Amino acid sequence: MGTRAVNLRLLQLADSAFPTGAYAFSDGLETLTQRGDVRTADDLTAFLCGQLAHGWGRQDAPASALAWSADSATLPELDALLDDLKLVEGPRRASLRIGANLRRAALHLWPGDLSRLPPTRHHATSFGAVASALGAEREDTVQAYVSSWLLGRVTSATRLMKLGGLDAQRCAAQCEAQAGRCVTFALRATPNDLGGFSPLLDIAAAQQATLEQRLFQT
Amino acid sequence: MTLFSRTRFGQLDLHFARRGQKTVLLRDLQKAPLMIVRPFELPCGTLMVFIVNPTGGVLGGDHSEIRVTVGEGATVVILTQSATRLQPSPDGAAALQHIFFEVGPGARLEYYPERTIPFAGSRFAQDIQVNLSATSEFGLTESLASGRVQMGERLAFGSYASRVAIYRDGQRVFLDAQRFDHTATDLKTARAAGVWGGMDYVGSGVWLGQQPAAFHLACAPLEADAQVVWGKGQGGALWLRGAAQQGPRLDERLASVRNQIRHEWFGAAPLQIRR
Repeated sequence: MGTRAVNLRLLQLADSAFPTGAYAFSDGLETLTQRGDVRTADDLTAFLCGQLAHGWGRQDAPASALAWSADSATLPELDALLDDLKLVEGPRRASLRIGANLRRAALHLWPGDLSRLPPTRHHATSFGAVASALGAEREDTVQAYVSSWLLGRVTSATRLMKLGGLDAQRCAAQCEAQAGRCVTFALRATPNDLGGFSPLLDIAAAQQATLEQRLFQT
Repeated sequence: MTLFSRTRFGQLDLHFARRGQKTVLLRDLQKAPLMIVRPFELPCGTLMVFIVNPTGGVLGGDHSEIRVTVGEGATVVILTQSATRLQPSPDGAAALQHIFFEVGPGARLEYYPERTIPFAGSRFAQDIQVNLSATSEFGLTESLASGRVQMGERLAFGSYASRVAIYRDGQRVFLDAQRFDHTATDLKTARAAGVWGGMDYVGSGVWLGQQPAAFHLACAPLEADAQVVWGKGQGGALWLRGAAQQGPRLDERLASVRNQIRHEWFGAAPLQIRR
């Protein structure tokens, strides 16, 4: 049986401890938990599956896949696409900030390998382009990106809800099939396929700034 | 398409222009099932046109193409006479609608179609492309039901896609690509918080124009059964998202926003629509 070397750099890039600052943003989940729309572990699992199927998974996951194979002329177009598709200012700015932080940290760690890294701005495009430059496979890159998002969200949920760490991880595990479909979609997507349908998350994200008490940045 | 295909290709080509103080419909091409009723002038001088589809709705496999050109200084509101009912086709084909709007300098086009109601098994894809000049104004609202709600049919349709791309002097200033593909997910996922949640009606909108410096959009407060928010997109457009449990509640909210923007941005009176 053949074995394939694990790209440790990709695992590091996708790790929640990698200093991107992603932990500071909830992209609307905080509003949904405060309003009681996401109250239980079942609600959280449904929310995560809903976003993988109809929201984040239709936009950021395919953008990371496209960025992995994009040249330096195409990457700015992908970033411009995300600028427009991310209607709500909070998540749009969060994506830009996390993207900048990820690039900064990656360039600090692997200056030689990333010396010719083309410019990127959003999180998804930066992740895809950096992973590609570090030698990660395309499918592995998207899987790592999806996993990173999923685990990041359940970690946020432990701060927002009465939910233990193990229960939160169970929620992520229950999304395995949907995450797999999300990766399959992302790997086949073209720029015209980017979009999604999450009107209630858009509303929640736009409301985030008006919450009286907030744990996460807007 | 086979010889016995029952799908249709509807076409509408409208060309408006300014003549003196009035906006007039200079040319029109109408191919069934897309038609318009005679345009009439609003007190503010804007020309109002209703698009009519006299058949039972849009069938899977149907293709509609609407092209509207609004010449320099002309002002037009386009509405639909009734909700668009999306019917499925036996072979599962999607109904397609392509809309092209060209709005000249100092001209304004507003497009406020009635609700889209997707029947069980239906699939629909719409593409709206808007080309504006530096001084054009534009407004659009859309709303979508989860199905034939009054009959208890909810989220039984196959897919819905609506892509709105707006360009100003050739530069894209707005893009909204809403795609809901229900063919590969279950009801629980579709009903998840963040997607449809407990709502049965969702709406969206976009406006571009000469926004007054002190403009503040005042909307009714968010409630559990009706929510509308708005913001500024990357390209400067004002976008809107709304959701409600009841259709009329969403309509009220959308109308309120529309009328505020018409008043403060366009200096126009509220739209009084009698169908």
